[in-house]
Amino acid sequence: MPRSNFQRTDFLLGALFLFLALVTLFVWIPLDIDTGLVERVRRRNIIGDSLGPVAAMILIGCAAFTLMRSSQNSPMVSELRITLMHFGFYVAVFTVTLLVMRLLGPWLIMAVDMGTQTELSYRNLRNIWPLKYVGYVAGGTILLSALSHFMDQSVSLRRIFLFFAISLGIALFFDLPFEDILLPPNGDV
Amino acid sequence: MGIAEHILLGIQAVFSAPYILGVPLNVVMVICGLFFGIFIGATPGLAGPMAMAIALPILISVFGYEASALLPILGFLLGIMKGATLGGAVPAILFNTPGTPDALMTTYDGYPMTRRGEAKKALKAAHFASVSGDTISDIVLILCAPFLAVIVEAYLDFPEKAALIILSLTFIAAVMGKSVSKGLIAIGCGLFVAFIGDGEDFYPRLSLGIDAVGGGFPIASVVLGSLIIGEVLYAMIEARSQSQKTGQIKQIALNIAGRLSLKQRVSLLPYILPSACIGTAIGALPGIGSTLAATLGYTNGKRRYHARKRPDQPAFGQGAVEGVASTEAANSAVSGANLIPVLSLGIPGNAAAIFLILAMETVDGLNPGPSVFRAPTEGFNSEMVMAFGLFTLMILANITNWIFGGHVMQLMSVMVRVPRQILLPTVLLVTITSVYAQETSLFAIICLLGFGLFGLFMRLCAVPILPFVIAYILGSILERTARQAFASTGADPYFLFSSPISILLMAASAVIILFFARRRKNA
Repeated sequence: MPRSNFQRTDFLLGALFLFLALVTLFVWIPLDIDTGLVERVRRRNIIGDSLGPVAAMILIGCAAFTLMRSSQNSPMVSELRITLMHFGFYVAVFTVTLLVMRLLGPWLIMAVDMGTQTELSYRNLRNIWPLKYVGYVAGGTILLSALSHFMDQSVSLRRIFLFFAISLGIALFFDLPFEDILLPPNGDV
Repeated sequence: MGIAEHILLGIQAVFSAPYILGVPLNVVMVICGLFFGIFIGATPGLAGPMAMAIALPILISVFGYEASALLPILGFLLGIMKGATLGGAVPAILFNTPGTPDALMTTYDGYPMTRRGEAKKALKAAHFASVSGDTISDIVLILCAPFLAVIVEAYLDFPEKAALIILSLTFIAAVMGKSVSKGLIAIGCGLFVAFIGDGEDFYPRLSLGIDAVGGGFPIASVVLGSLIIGEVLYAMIEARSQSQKTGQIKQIALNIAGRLSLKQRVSLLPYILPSACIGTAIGALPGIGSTLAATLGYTNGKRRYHARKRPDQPAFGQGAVEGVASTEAANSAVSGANLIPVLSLGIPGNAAAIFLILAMETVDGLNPGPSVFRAPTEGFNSEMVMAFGLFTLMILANITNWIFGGHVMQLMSVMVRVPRQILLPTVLLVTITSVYAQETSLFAIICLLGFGLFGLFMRLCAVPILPFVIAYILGSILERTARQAFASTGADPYFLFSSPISILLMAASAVIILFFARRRKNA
């Protein structure tokens, strides 16, 4: 995707950043910062927490306005649909990957609990091989396979096995030599 | 304690580390980092900052946050920085594939040499020029950084320091990218993200009531997400576009031959030395980067070459070994000089410097800035000792590079065979894993991927991403300095214009913006 196709988006880009700067200046900052631009604390004037963000937003707003004014091309975005599709694809792949990483291990334990009438918990078993790699390797394989398919539109069982091996290899690389390092999601459960 | 004693203590700090197989740990880390850097640089699609990003969390997990961890970590990162610059010439020469933009000029003469059967000669010339340029740049760094820091510390108070940071940010915004407005938008975004969840008040500002954001975004997620993940996602879209047009992603084949004699090396020096000076001068200015240095070095070499060229010699751009040397000396000389603003002012000039600053800020022992080289009235300044330890590591990296770099460079040429559709997703997964290893939180990964998408958006809109990251890193320093300046001037609202020096620095910021905006408009 050539970058030049996006030169024509300068006007819209400026408009977007100008809009965001105005919303942040007049809505977000007043609602989410308790202090003003300058505060009086113990009979001394100090710079308040809102001065920095306000200055940053004024800078963005002015630069965005200048960008809109200097944009000489018509505000057409020929590749916008494709770009949004790419973003949508990335967001979907990342979401699925993180969900699988986070949930697969605990779900497996729940399934075992239901089948064997036991009360195991993933948290207590997360240091046991191969359970500690299950979520990471499954999520990693999905991530690698999906992104590779995105790049060359081809998929094969052989390549999925390769990505499984790569994910497992990365897991072993981080886990075996370094005792203190936890793989996703074992630090969160 | 004087400067000489600090230098000796710095050297001692490097060699007094625990020994591994009879070699001090810090030296081992430099060597490993250098080889890893060449490996990364020789792999098309990968770059030094990516390797530094992946390595940093692992190194912190292994060595910890204490001051004793600093030199091994910096040794490894410096090794990567130097090795990747050298390794970047491999795909450029052998396969006409510039791994990084600054290697583009290397392809002009390097690849025709490969086609003539002189690939080995081109690789050796690239190694000789690259390491020479790097060494000259490091010497300038070691000589200049302490003096610049002492001058800054002696003459600049808080208002002037705040004005100096503003000048640096405006300069970076102006010179990076094709539009000054876009550079300023990137700077504004970086500052704004730096201000989230931080501040003087009890309530964490701009956190939207989310507890996890209360302490600010994890710094590794913001930097690695916008710089590395964004670049990987963009490269994937490029590869997809290429695949849709041609039906396949370009892969390449291998052939190495040729040699470079001592006489030929000597004949390259008139091309290497001016290029090294150009690269060093450009590297000392934050934000300009090695691509301009490579272009200017190449142009200067071309002018000299055509004035002296014999009829039987190939033209510049058609396989002249002088072209490879001119380019490689210039782009390699940037890396050492780039640390001048890092160590003397605490201002990072490029992506590699950002990761060095990140390491220094995460691990105890060295806070980059003018105070590093402050001479103590009694005892010793431990930060100055660490800085001289860092210089020792750089010299060691150069020596290793001189001895082994060329051989490792040729061995790593096989890396160009790794398909991008396997390599890029793997880099993404390794980056995710290394961030989790440091932060141990899925929230950090969500932030990483979120900032990755933000970085992708910026790239697609041709907004330079490096000003965003530099402003993010300098944001809290700027605010802290501004608070101190405001207090020290008795709450003067015009504190940025309270002295002739600060007025001069602020005026320079305005002039730079106007000058580059006008120049771009005319271009």
